[in-house]
Amino acid sequence: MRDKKWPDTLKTILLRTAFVGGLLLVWEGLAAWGFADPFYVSRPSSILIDFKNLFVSGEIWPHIAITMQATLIGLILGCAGGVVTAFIMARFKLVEKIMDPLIVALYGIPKLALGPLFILWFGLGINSKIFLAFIWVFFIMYFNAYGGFKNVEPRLINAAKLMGASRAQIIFKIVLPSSFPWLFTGLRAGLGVALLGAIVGEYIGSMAGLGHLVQYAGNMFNTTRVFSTILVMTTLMMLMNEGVKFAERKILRWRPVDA
Amino acid sequence: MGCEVPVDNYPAPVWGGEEVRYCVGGLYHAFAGTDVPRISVLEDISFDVASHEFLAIVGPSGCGKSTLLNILSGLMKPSEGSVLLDGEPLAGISKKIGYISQLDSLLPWRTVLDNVTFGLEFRNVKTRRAREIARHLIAEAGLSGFENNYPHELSGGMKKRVDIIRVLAIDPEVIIMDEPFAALDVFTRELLQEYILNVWKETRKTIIFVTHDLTEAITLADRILLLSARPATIKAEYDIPLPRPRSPLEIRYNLTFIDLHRLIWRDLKVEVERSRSGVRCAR
Repeated sequence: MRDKKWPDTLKTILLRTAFVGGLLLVWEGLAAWGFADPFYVSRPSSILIDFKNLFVSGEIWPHIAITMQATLIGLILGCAGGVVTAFIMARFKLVEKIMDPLIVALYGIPKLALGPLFILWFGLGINSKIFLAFIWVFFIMYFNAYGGFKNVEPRLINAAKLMGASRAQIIFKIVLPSSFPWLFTGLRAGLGVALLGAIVGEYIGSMAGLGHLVQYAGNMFNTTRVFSTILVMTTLMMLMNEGVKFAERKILRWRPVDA
Repeated sequence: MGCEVPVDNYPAPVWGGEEVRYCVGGLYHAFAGTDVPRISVLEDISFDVASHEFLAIVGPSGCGKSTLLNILSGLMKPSEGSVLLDGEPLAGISKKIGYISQLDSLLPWRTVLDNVTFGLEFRNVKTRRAREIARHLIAEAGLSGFENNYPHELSGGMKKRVDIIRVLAIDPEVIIMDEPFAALDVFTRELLQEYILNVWKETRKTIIFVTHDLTEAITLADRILLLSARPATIKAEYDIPLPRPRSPLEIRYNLTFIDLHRLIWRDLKVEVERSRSGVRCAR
Protein backbone atom coordinates (compact mmCIF):
# COMPACT_ATOMS: atom_id res chain seq x y z
CA MET A 1 0.00 0.00 0.00
CA ARG A 2 2.81 2.31 0.91
CA ASP A 3 4.55 1.55 -2.39
CA LYS A 4 1.49 2.58 -4.30
CA LYS A 5 1.01 5.76 -2.32
CA TRP A 6 4.56 6.97 -2.62
CA PRO A 7 4.69 7.86 -6.36
CA ASP A 8 1.44 9.77 -5.86
CA THR A 9 2.94 11.89 -3.11
CA LEU A 10 6.04 12.43 -5.23
CA LYS A 11 3.92 13.54 -8.17
CA THR A 12 2.02 15.99 -5.99
CA ILE A 13 5.23 17.43 -4.61
CA LEU A 14 6.75 17.80 -8.07
CA LEU A 15 3.67 19.52 -9.48
CA ARG A 16 3.46 21.83 -6.49
CA THR A 17 7.13 22.77 -6.82
CA ALA A 18 6.67 23.40 -10.53
CA PHE A 19 3.66 25.63 -9.85
CA VAL A 20 5.43 27.75 -7.24
CA GLY A 21 8.60 27.85 -9.36
CA GLY A 22 6.56 29.06 -12.34
CA LEU A 23 5.00 31.88 -10.32
CA LEU A 24 8.41 32.96 -9.08
CA LEU A 25 9.76 32.93 -12.66
CA VAL A 26 6.89 35.13 -13.84
CA TRP A 27 7.56 37.52 -10.98
CA GLU A 28 11.28 37.55 -11.75
CA GLY A 29 10.58 38.11 -15.44
CA LEU A 30 8.14 40.95 -14.86
CA ALA A 31 10.66 42.69 -12.61
CA ALA A 32 13.64 42.02 -14.89
CA TRP A 33 12.02 43.29 -18.09
CA GLY A 34 10.61 46.40 -16.51
CA PHE A 35 6.90 45.49 -16.43
CA ALA A 36 6.97 45.92 -12.66
CA ASP A 37 9.17 48.21 -10.63
CA PRO A 38 11.53 46.23 -8.38
CA PHE A 39 11.46 49.22 -6.02
CA TYR A 40 7.92 48.23 -5.10
CA VAL A 41 7.79 44.49 -5.75
CA SER A 42 11.46 43.51 -5.44
CA ARG A 43 12.40 40.31 -7.25
CA PRO A 44 12.67 36.68 -6.10
CA SER A 45 16.38 36.43 -6.79
CA SER A 46 17.22 39.47 -4.64
CA ILE A 47 14.88 38.21 -1.91
CA LEU A 48 16.56 34.80 -1.80
CA ILE A 49 20.02 36.39 -1.72
CA ASP A 50 18.94 38.70 1.10
CA PHE A 51 17.35 35.73 2.91
CA LYS A 52 20.65 33.85 2.69
CA ASN A 53 22.63 36.93 3.83
CA LEU A 54 20.40 37.39 6.86
CA PHE A 55 21.47 33.95 8.06
CA VAL A 56 25.09 34.03 6.83
CA SER A 57 25.75 37.33 8.61
CA GLY A 58 23.89 36.01 11.65
CA GLU A 59 21.96 39.26 11.77
CA ILE A 60 18.60 37.46 11.87
CA TRP A 61 19.15 35.23 14.91
CA PRO A 62 18.57 37.76 17.69
CA HIS A 63 15.36 38.86 15.97
CA ILE A 64 14.15 35.28 15.63
CA ALA A 65 15.03 34.62 19.26
CA ILE A 66 13.11 37.65 20.49
CA THR A 67 10.00 36.93 18.42
CA MET A 68 10.03 33.23 19.25
CA GLN A 69 10.40 33.94 22.93
CA ALA A 70 7.25 36.05 22.95
CA THR A 71 5.44 33.54 20.70
CA LEU A 72 6.23 30.51 22.82
CA ILE A 73 5.54 32.15 26.18
CA GLY A 74 2.27 33.54 24.84
CA LEU A 75 1.39 30.14 23.40
CA ILE A 76 2.10 28.25 26.61
CA LEU A 77 0.24 30.74 28.82
CA GLY A 78 -2.67 30.97 26.38
CA CYS A 79 -3.01 27.19 26.09
CA ALA A 80 -2.80 26.68 29.83
CA GLY A 81 -5.29 29.47 30.51
CA GLY A 82 -7.68 28.27 27.83
CA VAL A 83 -7.62 24.64 28.96
CA VAL A 84 -8.04 25.49 32.65
CA THR A 85 -10.88 27.95 31.98
CA ALA A 86 -12.61 25.46 29.67
CA PHE A 87 -12.26 22.78 32.29
CA ILE A 88 -13.82 24.93 35.01
CA MET A 89 -16.66 25.93 32.70
CA ALA A 90 -17.35 22.35 31.64
CA ARG A 91 -17.19 21.14 35.21
CA PHE A 92 -19.27 23.74 37.08
CA LYS A 93 -22.69 24.47 35.67
CA LEU A 94 -23.14 27.71 37.59
CA VAL A 95 -19.83 29.21 36.50
CA GLU A 96 -20.68 28.20 32.96
CA LYS A 97 -24.03 29.94 33.11
CA ILE A 98 -22.55 33.15 34.48
CA MET A 99 -19.39 33.28 32.39
CA ASP A 100 -20.28 31.86 28.99
CA PRO A 101 -21.93 34.99 27.52
CA LEU A 102 -19.15 37.13 28.97
CA ILE A 103 -16.43 35.07 27.35
CA VAL A 104 -18.24 35.17 24.02
CA ALA A 105 -18.57 38.96 24.36
CA LEU A 106 -14.88 39.34 25.21
CA TYR A 107 -14.03 37.17 22.23
CA GLY A 108 -15.87 39.68 20.08
CA ILE A 109 -13.41 42.46 20.90
CA PRO A 110 -10.94 42.95 18.05
CA LYS A 111 -7.76 41.98 19.88
CA LEU A 112 -5.67 44.18 17.62
CA ALA A 113 -7.46 47.23 18.98
CA LEU A 114 -6.14 46.37 22.42
CA GLY A 115 -2.52 46.59 21.21
CA PRO A 116 -1.90 50.25 22.06
CA LEU A 117 -3.49 49.68 25.45
CA PHE A 118 -1.14 46.79 26.21
CA ILE A 119 1.85 48.90 25.23
CA LEU A 120 0.64 51.57 27.57
CA TRP A 121 0.31 49.02 30.35
CA PHE A 122 3.29 46.76 29.73
CA GLY A 123 5.69 49.02 27.84
CA LEU A 124 7.58 48.39 24.60
CA GLY A 125 9.29 45.26 25.89
CA ILE A 126 8.38 41.63 25.59
CA ASN A 127 5.43 41.74 27.98
CA SER A 128 3.00 43.54 25.71
CA LYS A 129 3.81 41.12 22.88
CA ILE A 130 3.32 38.13 25.16
CA PHE A 131 0.01 39.51 26.26
CA LEU A 132 -1.21 40.04 22.72
CA ALA A 133 -0.17 36.49 21.76
CA PHE A 134 -1.70 35.15 24.96
CA ILE A 135 -5.09 36.75 24.48
CA TRP A 136 -5.35 35.40 20.92
CA VAL A 137 -4.28 31.87 21.85
CA PHE A 138 -6.45 31.86 24.95
CA PHE A 139 -9.76 32.15 23.09
CA ILE A 140 -8.86 29.66 20.40
CA MET A 141 -7.70 27.13 22.96
CA TYR A 142 -10.66 27.82 25.20
CA PHE A 143 -13.26 27.09 22.52
CA ASN A 144 -11.50 23.91 21.38
CA ALA A 145 -10.88 22.54 24.86
CA TYR A 146 -14.45 23.33 25.87
CA GLY A 147 -15.72 21.40 22.86
CA GLY A 148 -13.46 18.50 23.83
CA PHE A 149 -14.57 18.38 27.45
CA LYS A 150 -18.23 18.66 26.53
CA ASN A 151 -18.04 15.90 23.94
CA VAL A 152 -16.67 13.09 26.04
CA GLU A 153 -18.71 9.92 25.43
CA PRO A 154 -21.00 9.51 28.47
CA ARG A 155 -20.74 5.78 27.78
CA LEU A 156 -17.04 5.81 28.62
CA ILE A 157 -17.54 7.82 31.79
CA ASN A 158 -20.28 5.43 32.91
CA ALA A 159 -18.12 2.42 32.20
CA ALA A 160 -15.28 3.89 34.25
CA LYS A 161 -17.66 4.72 37.10
CA LEU A 162 -19.00 1.18 37.10
CA MET A 163 -15.45 -0.14 37.25
CA GLY A 164 -14.93 1.93 40.38
CA ALA A 165 -13.05 4.97 39.06
CA SER A 166 -12.96 8.05 41.29
CA ARG A 167 -13.74 11.53 39.99
CA ALA A 168 -10.08 12.40 39.60
CA GLN A 169 -9.43 9.10 37.83
CA ILE A 170 -12.29 9.79 35.44
CA ILE A 171 -10.79 13.18 34.61
CA PHE A 172 -7.26 11.89 34.05
CA LYS A 173 -8.09 8.57 32.44
CA ILE A 174 -11.19 9.47 30.40
CA VAL A 175 -11.89 13.18 30.00
CA LEU A 176 -8.36 14.39 29.21
CA PRO A 177 -7.29 11.64 26.80
CA SER A 178 -10.56 11.76 24.94
CA SER A 179 -10.14 15.54 24.53
CA PHE A 180 -6.63 15.26 23.09
CA PRO A 181 -7.74 15.56 19.46
CA TRP A 182 -9.54 18.82 20.31
CA LEU A 183 -6.60 20.12 22.32
CA PHE A 184 -4.27 19.47 19.40
CA THR A 185 -6.54 21.34 17.03
CA GLY A 186 -6.44 24.23 19.48
CA LEU A 187 -2.67 24.00 19.77
CA ARG A 188 -2.16 24.06 16.01
CA ALA A 189 -4.46 27.01 15.51
CA GLY A 190 -2.96 28.67 18.59
CA LEU A 191 0.54 28.39 17.13
CA GLY A 192 -0.43 30.57 14.18
CA VAL A 193 -2.09 33.27 16.23
CA ALA A 194 0.71 33.25 18.82
CA LEU A 195 3.24 34.16 16.14
CA LEU A 196 0.79 36.67 14.72
CA GLY A 197 0.30 38.23 18.15
CA ALA A 198 4.01 38.56 18.73
CA ILE A 199 4.66 40.08 15.30
CA VAL A 200 1.74 42.49 15.48
CA GLY A 201 2.97 43.50 18.93
CA GLU A 202 6.30 44.31 17.34
CA TYR A 203 4.65 46.33 14.57
CA ILE A 204 2.87 48.46 17.10
CA GLY A 205 6.01 49.27 18.98
CA SER A 206 9.29 47.51 19.69
CA MET A 207 13.05 47.71 19.43
CA ALA A 208 13.76 44.30 17.91
CA GLY A 209 12.17 41.15 16.60
CA LEU A 210 10.94 40.01 13.20
CA GLY A 211 7.98 42.38 13.26
CA HIS A 212 10.32 45.23 14.05
CA LEU A 213 12.57 44.17 11.19
CA VAL A 214 9.69 44.26 8.71
CA GLN A 215 8.47 47.58 10.05
CA TYR A 216 11.95 49.11 9.87
CA ALA A 217 12.64 47.80 6.34
CA GLY A 218 9.27 49.16 5.22
CA ASN A 219 10.09 52.59 6.57
CA MET A 220 13.41 52.46 4.68
CA PHE A 221 11.58 51.44 1.45
CA ASN A 222 13.60 48.23 1.48
CA THR A 223 10.99 45.92 -0.11
CA THR A 224 13.53 43.13 -0.56
CA ARG A 225 14.15 43.04 3.18
CA VAL A 226 10.40 43.10 3.89
CA PHE A 227 9.92 40.05 1.68
CA SER A 228 12.93 38.15 2.98
CA THR A 229 11.81 38.70 6.59
CA ILE A 230 8.33 37.52 5.72
CA LEU A 231 9.99 34.43 4.24
CA VAL A 232 11.76 33.89 7.57
CA MET A 233 8.41 34.12 9.40
CA THR A 234 6.78 31.67 7.02
CA THR A 235 9.63 29.21 7.45
CA LEU A 236 9.34 29.42 11.24
CA MET A 237 5.61 28.90 11.06
CA MET A 238 5.98 25.84 8.85
CA LEU A 239 8.63 24.33 11.08
CA MET A 240 6.51 24.75 14.21
CA ASN A 241 3.46 23.38 12.44
CA GLU A 242 5.37 20.29 11.33
CA GLY A 243 6.61 19.83 14.89
CA VAL A 244 3.08 19.82 16.28
CA LYS A 245 1.85 17.57 13.50
CA PHE A 246 4.62 15.13 14.30
CA ALA A 247 3.70 15.10 17.99
CA GLU A 248 0.05 14.72 17.05
CA ARG A 249 0.77 11.69 14.89
CA LYS A 250 2.72 10.12 17.74
CA ILE A 251 0.19 10.83 20.48
CA LEU A 252 -3.00 10.29 18.47
CA ARG A 253 -1.77 7.05 16.95
CA TRP A 254 -4.96 5.38 18.19
CA ARG A 255 -7.25 7.26 15.86
CA PRO A 256 -8.64 5.65 12.72
CA VAL A 257 -6.68 6.91 9.72
CA ASP A 258 -8.56 9.79 8.18
CA ALA A 259 -5.95 12.28 7.01
CA MET B 1 -41.76 -13.74 46.44
CA GLY B 2 -39.25 -12.25 48.81
CA CYS B 3 -36.09 -12.93 50.72
CA GLU B 4 -37.96 -14.78 53.45
CA VAL B 5 -38.86 -17.54 51.03
CA PRO B 6 -36.90 -20.59 52.15
CA VAL B 7 -34.32 -21.61 49.64
CA ASP B 8 -35.87 -25.08 49.34
CA ASN B 9 -39.10 -23.70 47.95
CA TYR B 10 -37.22 -21.82 45.34
CA PRO B 11 -37.58 -23.32 41.85
CA ALA B 12 -34.20 -24.96 41.55
CA PRO B 13 -32.31 -23.76 38.51
CA VAL B 14 -30.89 -26.50 36.34
CA TRP B 15 -27.31 -25.39 36.68
CA GLY B 16 -27.64 -22.64 39.21
CA GLY B 17 -26.36 -22.39 42.73
CA GLU B 18 -28.08 -22.39 46.04
CA GLU B 19 -27.46 -19.10 47.77
CA VAL B 20 -29.41 -15.98 46.99
CA ARG B 21 -27.17 -13.36 45.47
CA TYR B 22 -29.64 -10.65 44.60
CA CYS B 23 -32.80 -9.99 46.48
CA VAL B 24 -34.94 -7.35 44.87
CA GLY B 25 -38.04 -6.34 46.78
CA GLY B 26 -40.90 -4.03 45.86
CA LEU B 27 -39.11 -1.80 43.40
CA TYR B 28 -40.98 1.23 42.16
CA HIS B 29 -39.42 3.85 40.01
CA ALA B 30 -40.74 7.02 38.46
CA PHE B 31 -39.04 9.82 36.60
CA ALA B 32 -40.04 13.35 37.40
CA GLY B 33 -41.26 14.88 34.16
CA THR B 34 -41.25 18.60 33.46
CA ASP B 35 -44.78 19.05 32.13
CA VAL B 36 -46.20 15.66 33.10
CA PRO B 37 -45.98 15.13 36.86
CA ARG B 38 -44.31 11.70 36.97
CA ILE B 39 -43.66 8.90 34.53
CA SER B 40 -43.88 5.58 36.27
CA VAL B 41 -41.34 3.12 34.85
CA LEU B 42 -41.19 0.23 37.30
CA GLU B 43 -44.01 -1.05 39.46
CA ASP B 44 -43.68 -3.60 42.22
CA ILE B 45 -40.73 -5.51 40.85
CA SER B 46 -39.59 -8.32 43.15
CA PHE B 47 -37.34 -11.24 42.35
CA ASP B 48 -34.31 -13.14 43.58
CA VAL B 49 -31.26 -14.27 41.70
CA ALA B 50 -29.32 -17.31 42.85
CA SER B 51 -25.57 -17.09 43.13
CA HIS B 52 -24.63 -19.12 40.09
CA GLU B 53 -27.72 -18.43 38.07
CA PHE B 54 -27.97 -17.25 34.51
CA LEU B 55 -31.05 -15.06 34.54
CA ALA B 56 -32.49 -13.49 31.41
CA ILE B 57 -34.89 -10.56 31.43
CA VAL B 58 -37.03 -9.98 28.36
CA GLY B 59 -39.66 -7.38 27.63
CA PRO B 60 -40.83 -5.03 24.93
CA SER B 61 -38.41 -2.24 24.04
CA GLY B 62 -38.77 0.88 26.12
CA CYS B 63 -40.42 -1.02 28.97
CA GLY B 64 -37.87 0.06 31.58
CA LYS B 65 -35.31 -2.73 31.35
CA SER B 66 -32.43 -0.30 31.30
CA THR B 67 -33.80 1.52 34.34
CA LEU B 68 -34.00 -1.78 36.16
CA LEU B 69 -30.41 -2.59 35.25
CA ASN B 70 -29.23 0.85 36.30
CA ILE B 71 -30.79 0.22 39.68
CA LEU B 72 -29.33 -3.29 39.95
CA SER B 73 -25.87 -1.97 39.10
CA GLY B 74 -26.07 0.82 41.66
CA LEU B 75 -26.00 3.65 39.10
CA MET B 76 -29.51 4.76 40.11
CA LYS B 77 -31.53 4.69 43.28
CA PRO B 78 -35.10 3.40 43.01
CA SER B 79 -37.95 5.66 44.11
CA GLU B 80 -39.04 2.86 46.41
CA GLY B 81 -38.00 -0.66 47.27
CA SER B 82 -34.80 -2.41 48.18
CA VAL B 83 -31.98 -4.22 46.46
CA LEU B 84 -29.91 -6.58 48.55
CA LEU B 85 -26.65 -7.93 47.17
CA ASP B 86 -25.29 -10.84 49.19
CA GLY B 87 -27.59 -9.83 51.99
CA GLU B 88 -26.47 -6.22 52.15
CA PRO B 89 -28.32 -3.20 50.80
CA LEU B 90 -26.77 -2.02 47.56
CA ALA B 91 -25.51 1.50 48.14
CA GLY B 92 -24.14 2.91 44.93
CA ILE B 93 -21.63 1.28 42.64
CA SER B 94 -20.24 -2.01 43.89
CA LYS B 95 -17.00 -3.74 43.05
CA LYS B 96 -18.89 -7.00 43.04
CA ILE B 97 -20.68 -6.02 39.83
CA GLY B 98 -19.44 -5.93 36.27
CA TYR B 99 -21.50 -4.23 33.58
CA ILE B 100 -21.56 -4.79 29.85
CA SER B 101 -23.74 -2.65 27.61
CA GLN B 102 -24.94 -2.87 24.03
CA LEU B 103 -22.29 -0.61 22.56
CA ASP B 104 -18.76 -1.44 23.59
CA SER B 105 -17.22 1.06 25.94
CA LEU B 106 -13.60 0.41 25.08
CA LEU B 107 -11.28 3.39 25.32
CA PRO B 108 -10.28 4.15 21.74
CA TRP B 109 -6.90 5.55 22.78
CA ARG B 110 -5.86 2.37 24.56
CA THR B 111 -4.64 -0.88 23.07
CA VAL B 112 -6.52 -4.12 23.71
CA LEU B 113 -4.09 -4.98 26.50
CA ASP B 114 -4.44 -1.60 28.20
CA ASN B 115 -8.20 -1.73 27.85
CA VAL B 116 -8.34 -5.06 29.64
CA THR B 117 -6.18 -3.77 32.49
CA PHE B 118 -8.33 -0.64 32.79
CA GLY B 119 -10.57 -1.85 35.62
CA LEU B 120 -7.62 -3.25 37.55
CA GLU B 121 -6.16 0.25 37.81
CA PHE B 122 -8.92 1.12 40.26
CA ARG B 123 -8.20 -1.93 42.38
CA ASN B 124 -4.58 -1.24 43.20
CA VAL B 125 -3.33 -4.16 41.18
CA LYS B 126 0.33 -3.74 40.20
CA THR B 127 0.81 -3.02 36.50
CA ARG B 128 2.84 -6.15 35.89
CA ARG B 129 0.31 -8.40 37.58
CA ALA B 130 -2.55 -6.65 35.77
CA ARG B 131 -0.87 -7.30 32.43
CA GLU B 132 -0.34 -10.92 33.32
CA ILE B 133 -4.05 -11.31 34.09
CA ALA B 134 -4.97 -9.45 30.91
CA ARG B 135 -2.67 -11.51 28.67
CA HIS B 136 -4.10 -14.70 30.08
CA LEU B 137 -7.70 -13.59 29.49
CA ILE B 138 -6.91 -12.31 26.01
CA ALA B 139 -5.42 -15.66 25.10
CA GLU B 140 -8.42 -17.53 26.52
CA ALA B 141 -10.77 -15.37 24.46
CA GLY B 142 -8.85 -16.30 21.34
CA LEU B 143 -7.49 -12.81 20.82
CA SER B 144 -3.77 -13.56 21.09
CA GLY B 145 -1.78 -11.40 18.74
CA PHE B 146 -4.14 -8.46 19.08
CA GLU B 147 -2.78 -7.21 22.42
CA ASN B 148 -1.28 -4.10 20.88
CA ASN B 149 -4.07 -3.27 18.45
CA TYR B 150 -6.38 -0.34 18.96
CA PRO B 151 -10.16 -0.91 19.18
CA HIS B 152 -10.84 0.65 15.78
CA GLU B 153 -8.71 -2.08 14.23
CA LEU B 154 -10.96 -4.86 15.59
CA SER B 155 -14.22 -6.31 14.29
CA GLY B 156 -17.45 -5.82 16.23
CA GLY B 157 -17.32 -9.33 17.65
CA MET B 158 -13.71 -8.94 18.77
CA LYS B 159 -14.49 -5.64 20.45
CA LYS B 160 -17.31 -7.29 22.33
CA ARG B 161 -14.99 -10.04 23.51
CA VAL B 162 -12.52 -7.45 24.77
CA ASP B 163 -15.41 -5.66 26.48
CA ILE B 164 -16.34 -8.92 28.22
CA ILE B 165 -12.84 -9.88 29.33
CA ARG B 166 -12.29 -6.37 30.61
CA VAL B 167 -15.09 -7.11 33.03
CA LEU B 168 -13.79 -10.62 33.73
CA ALA B 169 -10.41 -9.10 34.62
CA ILE B 170 -11.88 -7.33 37.64
CA ASP B 171 -13.43 -10.65 38.66
CA PRO B 172 -16.87 -9.46 39.77
CA GLU B 173 -19.38 -11.81 41.31
CA VAL B 174 -22.22 -10.56 39.14
CA ILE B 175 -22.13 -9.66 35.47
CA ILE B 176 -24.99 -7.51 34.25
CA MET B 177 -25.40 -7.45 30.49
CA ASP B 178 -27.71 -4.99 28.76
CA GLU B 179 -28.54 -6.34 25.30
CA PRO B 180 -24.86 -7.00 24.79
CA PHE B 181 -25.10 -8.64 21.37
CA ALA B 182 -27.96 -6.62 19.89
CA ALA B 183 -25.69 -4.56 17.63
CA LEU B 184 -23.93 -7.58 16.11
CA ASP B 185 -24.78 -9.66 13.06
CA VAL B 186 -26.50 -13.02 13.58
CA PHE B 187 -23.44 -15.15 12.97
CA THR B 188 -21.20 -13.19 15.34
CA ARG B 189 -24.00 -13.17 17.90
CA GLU B 190 -24.18 -16.97 17.92
CA LEU B 191 -20.43 -17.27 18.39
CA LEU B 192 -20.59 -14.85 21.29
CA GLN B 193 -23.51 -16.69 22.85
CA GLU B 194 -21.37 -19.79 22.81
CA TYR B 195 -18.51 -17.79 24.26
CA ILE B 196 -20.57 -16.35 27.12
CA LEU B 197 -21.99 -19.81 27.94
CA ASN B 198 -18.42 -21.00 28.23
CA VAL B 199 -17.41 -18.08 30.38
CA TRP B 200 -20.34 -18.74 32.66
CA LYS B 201 -19.53 -22.44 32.89
CA GLU B 202 -15.90 -21.71 33.75
CA THR B 203 -16.41 -18.87 36.19
CA ARG B 204 -19.83 -19.74 37.67
CA LYS B 205 -20.63 -16.06 38.03
CA THR B 206 -24.14 -14.72 38.41
CA ILE B 207 -25.25 -13.34 35.05
CA ILE B 208 -28.21 -11.06 34.55
CA PHE B 209 -28.79 -10.77 30.85
CA VAL B 210 -31.31 -8.39 29.31
CA THR B 211 -32.34 -9.02 25.73
CA HIS B 212 -35.29 -8.52 23.44
CA ASP B 213 -34.33 -11.63 21.51
CA LEU B 214 -36.36 -14.50 22.93
CA THR B 215 -34.30 -17.18 21.18
CA GLU B 216 -31.19 -15.77 22.80
CA ALA B 217 -32.83 -15.69 26.23
CA ILE B 218 -33.97 -19.33 26.04
CA THR B 219 -30.62 -20.47 24.64
CA LEU B 220 -28.65 -18.96 27.49
CA ALA B 221 -30.71 -18.73 30.64
CA ASP B 222 -31.76 -20.91 33.54
CA ARG B 223 -34.74 -18.71 34.09
CA ILE B 224 -36.49 -15.92 32.22
CA LEU B 225 -38.34 -12.98 33.69
CA LEU B 226 -40.90 -11.43 31.38
CA LEU B 227 -41.50 -7.74 31.94
CA SER B 228 -44.73 -6.08 30.88
CA ALA B 229 -45.05 -2.92 28.83
CA ARG B 230 -44.36 0.31 30.73
CA PRO B 231 -44.76 0.68 33.64
CA ALA B 232 -42.91 -2.61 33.90
CA THR B 233 -44.11 -5.31 36.22
CA ILE B 234 -42.99 -8.91 36.27
CA LYS B 235 -45.61 -10.50 34.10
CA ALA B 236 -44.36 -14.06 34.21
CA GLU B 237 -41.41 -16.20 35.08
CA TYR B 238 -40.27 -19.32 33.22
CA ASP B 239 -37.76 -21.98 34.13
CA ILE B 240 -35.72 -23.23 31.23
CA PRO B 241 -35.05 -26.91 31.94
CA LEU B 242 -32.94 -27.45 28.85
CA PRO B 243 -29.89 -29.67 29.31
CA ARG B 244 -26.44 -28.18 29.50
CA PRO B 245 -23.97 -27.71 27.99
CA ARG B 246 -26.04 -26.06 25.31
CA SER B 247 -25.03 -25.27 21.78
CA PRO B 248 -26.68 -22.11 20.42
CA LEU B 249 -26.79 -23.68 16.96
CA GLU B 250 -28.35 -26.98 17.98
CA ILE B 251 -30.59 -26.18 20.89
CA ARG B 252 -33.22 -24.34 18.92
CA TYR B 253 -34.27 -27.62 17.27
CA ASN B 254 -34.89 -29.19 20.66
CA LEU B 255 -38.64 -29.79 21.11
CA THR B 256 -38.73 -28.32 24.62
CA PHE B 257 -37.06 -25.24 23.21
CA ILE B 258 -39.74 -24.89 20.56
CA ASP B 259 -42.54 -25.30 23.09
CA LEU B 260 -40.99 -22.79 25.45
CA HIS B 261 -40.47 -20.35 22.64
CA ARG B 262 -44.11 -20.62 21.60
CA LEU B 263 -45.35 -20.27 25.16
CA ILE B 264 -43.21 -17.26 26.09
CA TRP B 265 -43.68 -15.56 22.75
CA ARG B 266 -47.45 -15.71 23.16
CA ASP B 267 -47.15 -13.79 26.44
CA LEU B 268 -44.47 -11.44 25.15
CA LYS B 269 -46.47 -10.61 22.03
CA VAL B 270 -49.32 -9.24 24.11
CA GLU B 271 -46.91 -6.90 25.88
CA VAL B 272 -45.20 -5.84 22.68
CA GLU B 273 -48.58 -4.93 21.21
CA ARG B 274 -49.58 -3.12 24.37
CA SER B 275 -46.39 -1.13 24.34
CA ARG B 276 -46.86 -0.28 20.64
CA SER B 277 -50.42 0.97 21.15
CA GLY B 278 -49.17 2.92 24.15
CA VAL B 279 -46.68 4.69 21.94
CA ARG B 280 -49.40 5.49 19.45
CA CYS B 281 -51.63 6.95 22.16
CA ALA B 282 -48.80 9.04 23.50
CA ARG B 283 -48.32 10.59 20.09
